[in-house]
Amino acid sequence: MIALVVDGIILGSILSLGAVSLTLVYGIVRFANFAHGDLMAVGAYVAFFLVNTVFATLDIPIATFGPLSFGLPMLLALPLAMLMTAVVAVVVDRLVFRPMRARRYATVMFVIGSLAVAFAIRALVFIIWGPEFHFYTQALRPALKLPFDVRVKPDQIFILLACLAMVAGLYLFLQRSKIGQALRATADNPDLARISGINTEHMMIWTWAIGAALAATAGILLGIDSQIRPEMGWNLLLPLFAAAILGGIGNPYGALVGGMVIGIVQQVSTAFLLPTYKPAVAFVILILVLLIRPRGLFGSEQRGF
Amino acid sequence: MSLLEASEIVSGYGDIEILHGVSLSVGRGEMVAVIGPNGCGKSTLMKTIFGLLTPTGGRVTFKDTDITGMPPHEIVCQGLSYVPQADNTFLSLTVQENLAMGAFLRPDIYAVQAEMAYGLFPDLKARRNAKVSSLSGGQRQMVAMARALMLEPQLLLLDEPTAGLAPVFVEAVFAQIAHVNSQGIAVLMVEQNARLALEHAQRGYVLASGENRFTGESSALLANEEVARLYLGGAA
Amino acid sequence: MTVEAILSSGLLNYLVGFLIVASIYALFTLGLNVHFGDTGLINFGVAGFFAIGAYTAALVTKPLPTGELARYTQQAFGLDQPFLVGIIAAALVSGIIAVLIGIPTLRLREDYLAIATIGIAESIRLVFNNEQWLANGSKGLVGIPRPLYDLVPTAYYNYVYLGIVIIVLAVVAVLLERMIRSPWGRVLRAIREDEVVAAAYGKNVFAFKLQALVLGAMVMGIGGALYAHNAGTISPSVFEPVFGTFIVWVMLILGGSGNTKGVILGAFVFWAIWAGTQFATDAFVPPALNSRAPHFRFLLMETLLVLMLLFRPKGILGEERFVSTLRPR
Ligand SMILES: Nc1ncnc2c1ncn2[C@@H]1O[C@H](COP(=O)(O)OP(=O)(O)O)[C@@H](O)[C@H]1O
Ligand SMILES: [Mg+2]
Repeated sequence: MIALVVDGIILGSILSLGAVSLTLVYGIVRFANFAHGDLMAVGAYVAFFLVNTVFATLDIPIATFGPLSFGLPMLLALPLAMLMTAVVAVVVDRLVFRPMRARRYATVMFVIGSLAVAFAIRALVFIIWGPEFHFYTQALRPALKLPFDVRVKPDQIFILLACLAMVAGLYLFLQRSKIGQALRATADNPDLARISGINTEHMMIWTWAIGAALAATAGILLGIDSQIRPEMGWNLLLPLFAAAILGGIGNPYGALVGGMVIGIVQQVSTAFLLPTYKPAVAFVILILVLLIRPRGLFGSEQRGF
Repeated sequence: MSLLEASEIVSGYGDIEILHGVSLSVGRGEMVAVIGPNGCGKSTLMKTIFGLLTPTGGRVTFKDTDITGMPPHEIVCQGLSYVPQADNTFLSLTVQENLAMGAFLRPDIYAVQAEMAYGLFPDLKARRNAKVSSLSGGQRQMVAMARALMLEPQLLLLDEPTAGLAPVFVEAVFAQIAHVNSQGIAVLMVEQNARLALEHAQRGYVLASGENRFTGESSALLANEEVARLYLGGAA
Repeated sequence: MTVEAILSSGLLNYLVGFLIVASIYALFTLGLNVHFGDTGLINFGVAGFFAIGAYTAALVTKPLPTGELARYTQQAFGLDQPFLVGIIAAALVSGIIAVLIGIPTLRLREDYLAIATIGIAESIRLVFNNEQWLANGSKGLVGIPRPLYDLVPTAYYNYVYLGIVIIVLAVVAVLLERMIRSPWGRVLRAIREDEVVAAAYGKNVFAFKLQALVLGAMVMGIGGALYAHNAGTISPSVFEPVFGTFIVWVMLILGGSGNTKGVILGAFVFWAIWAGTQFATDAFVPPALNSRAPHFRFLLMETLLVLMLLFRPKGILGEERFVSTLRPR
């Protein structure tokens, strides 16, 4: 059981990062982006492409870092994949959502558009990389044995630390930087932001870029932890939304906690249920939250974060 | 030559036309009041001047620049500022962050302008790191005004700055507005306290049903029997 | 050629099969139109109601397997009831699921229903996939009985079934059209245009939304039942989101959300486009890429939906009083 909780914390940290970025985007673009899971998949696949196809032909030392399963290629691929995913998200915004904003569409139209984008991304992943599972590496790494039968792979400690570092970085960015403050202002009151001289269209670009970069990181970390597959984005959708809503949608700090809770409950549930039921477990939590506390743990009536 | 010139503005929401050709002007350093019954389109006029709504007819010029249909974040560069009637602060941001957003386009003058704002509203200085959502209604109104003053505007648009305030604060707010105006900043003010507004302003416009009804010197409007009876709640 | 030869020719058979499936999709689209077109509810879980309808009808009309078959097929029950009982049961169970999903979500922002409906559809699929005892797990059910099967020679059976499907489609379409033109339907429209205003007029917005959700879900359940009887076999993989849900949205938007005739037209037109792309990929995609060929078609479908949303959000036919989805935010 303790082992499952520890596994849950690792999964939870990845979900947290995904949910934080999902809810950040939600807070500013003001619609539920059903393509977010697929942005995670884009990040994971771009990194896969870089590490296993591009870098493999270059003279990059492939030695892994100590006990970790990856080395310099992955470390180089990470920022590039973040950048590429950000570009994908910004381009999608330009092509799909910005015209909708310009035409002052109702929220429902954006939501439907995002579902189309989600499936389109998935189709492209299938077309480019095929339906098979992929692994970043075939190498098996020994797990560290801790008390209480807990086994932790060194990779997993890296994943946890990386997620925490990313969220902390986002926090500092939002609190301290000028753009971060402007993003918070836009989330809080977009009209007032415009009146204050903030070009909210620029803020949209920042939002998609940051949200997608964080999503890409989450996708890559998930790929390091398990494997990458075309449906990964779709399967993540329910846990991500459950985490975001549990934390109070639009509130990144709540999503951090929400992601942890969902991750732990999902892993612990495998003691009683088939692992394939994990998305359904997330769904049940989601429904319970909606019934008991639809604002989530940390949500308020007020916008902004 | 006037600073702001709005002529024959036709505007509204979607298919609903609210303003059917409203005109007004504000001269340099002038204080002008817009009064009229609830729902006659005063806020709609402000939103249209500031680019939150795009007029279907008419023109807005500021210092001879045509700003009709310009997006708000560009209008603010021209030297206008706007304090909306509702939702006029960033509630989840601190006082200081609200002021920083006011100076978003000019970080270089932020420090100087923030000191000026705290000088004008000393109450805010003590609460500079508090979230605006924790402030009182009167203090929030000060934050809203301070934010709008951060870019050294030449014209300040105020939409019902005293709405919902206790009578003691109403006087104080008018005093602050007068002080701002005395520094050469022109003020265009929508007010429910019509009499008080006209007493402070040099000129006034009375709107009704999305049209100009009366226009003139404040003293003339205050003296006008009909204006007094219909819009000032009593005899002249 | 004799009449007989024409009726049993391959092309005509293909056409009849095509019309049957298109009509069934038209039912899903009609159901979704009650949700989205009339009331503004986003249901991303059409596949869930589709599955529930299909499995309910199958289990209600199928007998329990016996003999050799019982070794390979598990099912929780098999009631061996007539076709119509199966249809009614499918509608009822779908409606009940809709109530369960509506209660926690319909008072909240529109996105929450979208998320929750995805969740219910995925959960339903997972349950049918993993619970072998319920309906034979991932292998699914075979031998679902076909109504009036003994009436005509097997070669002509599809004509009979097409008749049944078209009658159901016509009855449902007429009933829905009447309902939407009734005072009740006008309240749904009002809710879609502006919930706050509808509430201000004293309408119980939640109750009306729930009724619309249930009504649409029942129609989808009926569609699922008709699908099961037509295919004769169902398995969880049929109810994947792209084929179970997304395609229905494409049909709805293509035909004109909010317009009964339009959405039926949308279903037929899109099903024709879909069949056309099948021929196209068969002809142009090299066999080496066969496993990826369907995804080219999916990509095409997704692109079509985005283009429709952007450039023709009212669909082919549009709607007489279309406002809601274009209302400024
Ligand atoms: N966002 C909106 N959408 C539609 N109608 C609006 C909106 N805001 C205001 N109105 C309508 O426009 C009219 C004028 O409103 P407003 O300009 O706010 O009046 P005032 O500020 O003079 O009280 C009113 O009838 C009001 O109901
Ligand atoms: Mg007003």
